[in-house]
Amino acid sequence: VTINATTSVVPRTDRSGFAIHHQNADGSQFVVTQRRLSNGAPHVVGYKQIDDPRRGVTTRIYSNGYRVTAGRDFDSRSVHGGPTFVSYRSGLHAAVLSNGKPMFREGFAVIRGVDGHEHRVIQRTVYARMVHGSPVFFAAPAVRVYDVVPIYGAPVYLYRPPLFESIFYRPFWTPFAVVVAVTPDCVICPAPVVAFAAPVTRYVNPIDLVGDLQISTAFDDGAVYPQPLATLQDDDAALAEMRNQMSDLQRQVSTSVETNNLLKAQFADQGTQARDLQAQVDALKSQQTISNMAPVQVPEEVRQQIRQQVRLSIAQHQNGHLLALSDVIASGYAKIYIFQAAAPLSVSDVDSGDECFLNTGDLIAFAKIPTGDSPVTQMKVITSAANSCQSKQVVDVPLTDLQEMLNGFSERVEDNMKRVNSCISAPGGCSRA
Amino acid sequence: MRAPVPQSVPRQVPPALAAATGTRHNPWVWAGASALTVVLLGGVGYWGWINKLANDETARRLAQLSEVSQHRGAEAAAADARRAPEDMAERAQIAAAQAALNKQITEEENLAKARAGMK
Repeated sequence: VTINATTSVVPRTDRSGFAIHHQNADGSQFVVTQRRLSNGAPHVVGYKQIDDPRRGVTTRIYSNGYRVTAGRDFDSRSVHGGPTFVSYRSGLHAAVLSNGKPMFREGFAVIRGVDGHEHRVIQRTVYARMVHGSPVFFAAPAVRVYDVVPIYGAPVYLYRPPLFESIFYRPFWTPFAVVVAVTPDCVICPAPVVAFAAPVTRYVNPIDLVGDLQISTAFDDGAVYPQPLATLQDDDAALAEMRNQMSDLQRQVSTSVETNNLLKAQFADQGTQARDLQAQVDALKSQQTISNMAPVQVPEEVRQQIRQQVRLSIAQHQNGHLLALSDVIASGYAKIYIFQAAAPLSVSDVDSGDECFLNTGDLIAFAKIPTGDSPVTQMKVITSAANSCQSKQVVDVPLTDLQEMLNGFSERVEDNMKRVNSCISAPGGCSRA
Repeated sequence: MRAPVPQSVPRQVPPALAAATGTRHNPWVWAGASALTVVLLGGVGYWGWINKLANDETARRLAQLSEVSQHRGAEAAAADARRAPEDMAERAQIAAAQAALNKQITEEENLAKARAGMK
């Protein structure tokens, strides 16, 4: 239904909602979609789409701060203020900090394996990591190596962990010599970005600590922290302005429903009334006040499962065994295995086809174990942050992204083992006091 | 001899007859009492009848409720019966998966400890 020369409303084919399209004077487009969830609550997604036909690049800036760009030979995803993660068609990846500096970049290389043969691998050079929303640069860049192996006929990249001396792993086979008390002075305890269902007051078992760090550090990487003034002021203002424009657009459509009989009939056919549109306006406006800093609630069974997977990962690391998706699928434990998003990811809901986001740290599991007949599989969201796909939602995820999640999991276990090792060997232990 | 002269004997009226005589004198009282009796009897009868109806209605409703409850219970039991094997199968699958994960952990840890010379 045409509202005016620049705005139209398109009902969804499943009659669960509608989309407002608005052409801006600068050639960009606003799209605001609303549908009613199974629990009756309105679900609103708004984005601005900017097309650059000359470069073949399309960028979508979402009202919740996500940004997705698709180009001819790459696509990228970012969360407002966080790094931009780029995937190239060549199979290589890169991440760029919000200030334009590289966080990591990848290249192909040939190395001689333990079998004496040369192998083509991917080398990732990591310059910095995010800590509480800010980049921390390494004194010397770290290099990670990925083997290229086929899974169901498609090439995927498996993280090959470096082998450390056995003394590196020893602290994880026995309880801590000095118990790590969970106090504000604890320098290694999980950040309050997550809330465990059964909080602990101390860590006796190092694997419990690494397991909890595995969850908390990932959600911390994905969290949006308030930025210092002037660093993101322009971006913040642009996002706020975009939300206001979308709210104005919704208000305009809401008013038109009263006077446009065709529109009114369309909406009545869907059981939608002007007050629903008003609720939609309010829902979008409320996105401005959603606190990303609300801790992510982590159920105890999820925490215990991650601890088990960390335990397995530590042993595999020591044995030089790779964490491969094909092994997880073929194992008897695929049903309970939890995957952790290693970077922002745009996915689609299996039922509605709607787009939603998985952010770093979000936990998902197989809704259906892959059989190799499709490059994507259905995953159920187990635990997720505020602006991510909702818990219990079933989404389609490419198998290559699942392998990247496993790579990220192994790398994070390795990083957290290093942190625990350096903490327990420090003169003051793991406490500031 | 003189024949005895009959003496005038004052008439004695039995008290009951006297009351009857009094009643006869006040028909409104009689009518009122009768009406009151009829009303009272009617009231008692009406109360009994209503009460019986209410009891019947309550009994009917209770029976209906019981029937609905039994029906729902049967439905729930049937649903549970349908779901129970699925739940049991689901639980069994999860238990088997946990056992498989534990086995894999044990194998990897044993290998790792052996390599580290800890076993």
